Amino acid sequence: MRCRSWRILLVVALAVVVAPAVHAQFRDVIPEGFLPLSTIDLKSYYARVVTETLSPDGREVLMSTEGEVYYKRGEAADDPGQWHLFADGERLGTYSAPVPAPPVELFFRNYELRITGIDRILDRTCHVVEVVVRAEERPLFSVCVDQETGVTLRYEQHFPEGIVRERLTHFEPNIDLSQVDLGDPEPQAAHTRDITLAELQTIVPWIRLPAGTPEGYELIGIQLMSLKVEEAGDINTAYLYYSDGLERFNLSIVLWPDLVQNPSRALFEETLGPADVVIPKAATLAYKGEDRTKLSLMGFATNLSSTDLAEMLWSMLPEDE
Amino acid sequence: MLGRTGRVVPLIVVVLLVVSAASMAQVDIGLLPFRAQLPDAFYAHVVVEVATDDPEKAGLTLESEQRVYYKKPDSPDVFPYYYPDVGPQAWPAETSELPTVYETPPIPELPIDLFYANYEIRVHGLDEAAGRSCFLVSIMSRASGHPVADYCVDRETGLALRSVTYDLHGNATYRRTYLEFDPDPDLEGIDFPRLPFRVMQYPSTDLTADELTARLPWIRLPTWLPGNFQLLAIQHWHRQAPDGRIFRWWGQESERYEILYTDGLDVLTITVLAPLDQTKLPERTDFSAPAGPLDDNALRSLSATGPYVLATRKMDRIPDGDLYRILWSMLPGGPEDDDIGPDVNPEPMYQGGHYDAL
Repeated sequence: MRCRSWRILLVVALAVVVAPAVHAQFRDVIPEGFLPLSTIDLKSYYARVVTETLSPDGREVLMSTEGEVYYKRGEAADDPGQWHLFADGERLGTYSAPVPAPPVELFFRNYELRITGIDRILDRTCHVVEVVVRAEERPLFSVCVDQETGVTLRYEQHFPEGIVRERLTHFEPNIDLSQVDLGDPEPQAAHTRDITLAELQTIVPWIRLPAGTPEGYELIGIQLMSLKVEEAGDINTAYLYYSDGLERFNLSIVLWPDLVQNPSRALFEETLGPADVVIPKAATLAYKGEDRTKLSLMGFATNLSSTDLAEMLWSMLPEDE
Repeated sequence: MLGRTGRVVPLIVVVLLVVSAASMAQVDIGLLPFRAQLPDAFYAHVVVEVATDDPEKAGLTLESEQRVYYKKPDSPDVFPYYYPDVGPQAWPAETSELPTVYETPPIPELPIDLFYANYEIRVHGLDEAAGRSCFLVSIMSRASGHPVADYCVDRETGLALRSVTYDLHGNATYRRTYLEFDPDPDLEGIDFPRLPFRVMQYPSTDLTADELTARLPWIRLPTWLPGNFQLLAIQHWHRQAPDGRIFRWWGQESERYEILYTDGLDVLTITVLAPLDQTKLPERTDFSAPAGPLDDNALRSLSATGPYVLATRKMDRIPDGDLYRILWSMLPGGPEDDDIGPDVNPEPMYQGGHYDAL
């Protein structure tokens, strides 16, 4: 297979060492693309995905599951599209890119990408990309990214408990999805909108941004979700999203009217997610309200401890007078 | 331990299956937002600076400055359209008989696995160039751990808006900077001219090492190469063009052979000239290196009466001494034919003929 974009990279890089041709002065400004990857032509794909957990030495497959993915890019230029997941013929759900998306600047403050090699998967050329934690010079995970489409053909991350590997066993880019039944769109149970911190503080005057957020993380967005509940009418929940550019966690607060009126710490009760659950970590604060005890503050993360999450939730509450 | 792992594992798997789409999304959209889609047209103001060997001109000096309109060609086989924004006098008037300009035969695609054996690419930040946001990208040498080139790659088009290459000592040798880049220029009124010349390639034939040996029994492929270079191609440039024109290489009627080595990024080209009118095959002692100072772009060459020539071009990241050592090692009968250890690095002057330049 001819690797045009790769050749382009080398042409750019080699422009200074290759003997100049007569018209080099013109060639010198040819605006060739640089990186050996492109995602520009991907409109849709179908893939079968195997997710495996291997023993730490990688020799034993401890667990293996298979799923199917249909991807369809959005109509608008800035719409990344949706992933429709199936397993055993059952529809698992539809997913979009995480919103709000962390700014790229934040990613590069904490991580860098190292394109370290090339591999062949499913008879396709992919580039091995490591995501490296900048402060520790530590590889976090690696992916092999298809040269032509940019799709991840293999993902691998090492945990103390084992190696998690996700790999495509079948991949068809740009398929016609008009004949594929992707199921009905999931009903929108809630209305969500972006709000500012000032708006949130107008609704909940006592709320404070959490203390003790991990180094490198920043608040990347606040959303207010309104959910109609038959007995209770509109219930609003505020979500605070934090990210270091790659990892995310969110802290949320259900704006029960009695909680907003009386956030006394004595009325909250902490619960931590199971310690042996690897992902996600969770912590909740239940509120002993006027009518009943209600779930009120929640934190979910993939790479923080439940106790850290709980501490951040507590720090959002005002001190008792 | 296994029991604990056994419980942990399904949770990881379940979550990962659920988040797999998200992780793909991150890679597709967030992690690797690279594009290589070039605009159909653009206006660019480009400055190129290069290093010289002149000790009084430290750093980089301006080599060229261009303001150019570009339009994508109608087909990949057509040369792109350029219009230099420097006034009509800069563009030669079209004539019915366009002069022919010959360019070198194409270099084969470089082996990408060799590139990754010797280098890696790091994408490590964001910056601005030509008023546009770009990714900071470096090509790192695995051997030295230092960058051999830095780029600022336009986030929208994939174009390197700033390119800097470095020599062995980390000094910049070349810098190309886009001062302006407009991917949506006003092309109205611009009549893109034809190239004022016809571009053709020197006719050439690829040879095997055995075929080269059969034609040039007085040399061999280098027995010493720096770093991890591998043979890429051997080209025989024909002496005569299809239109009957005879090429003279460096003023001589010679057979010309190009022996190309690469480490996946750099291409080391060794040129061998074998004059047509010589019947005596040269020996090692017939060769000498040029005396006197070397200018920046001079060929690093050995020549023998005839003249037979073995030459290579100055390389950013290969010292001149190593270039000469490569050339000497192609002439049998030198000390490198003995079993010298890897720690022994005889200077080229000890390997054969006269060599005053070092």
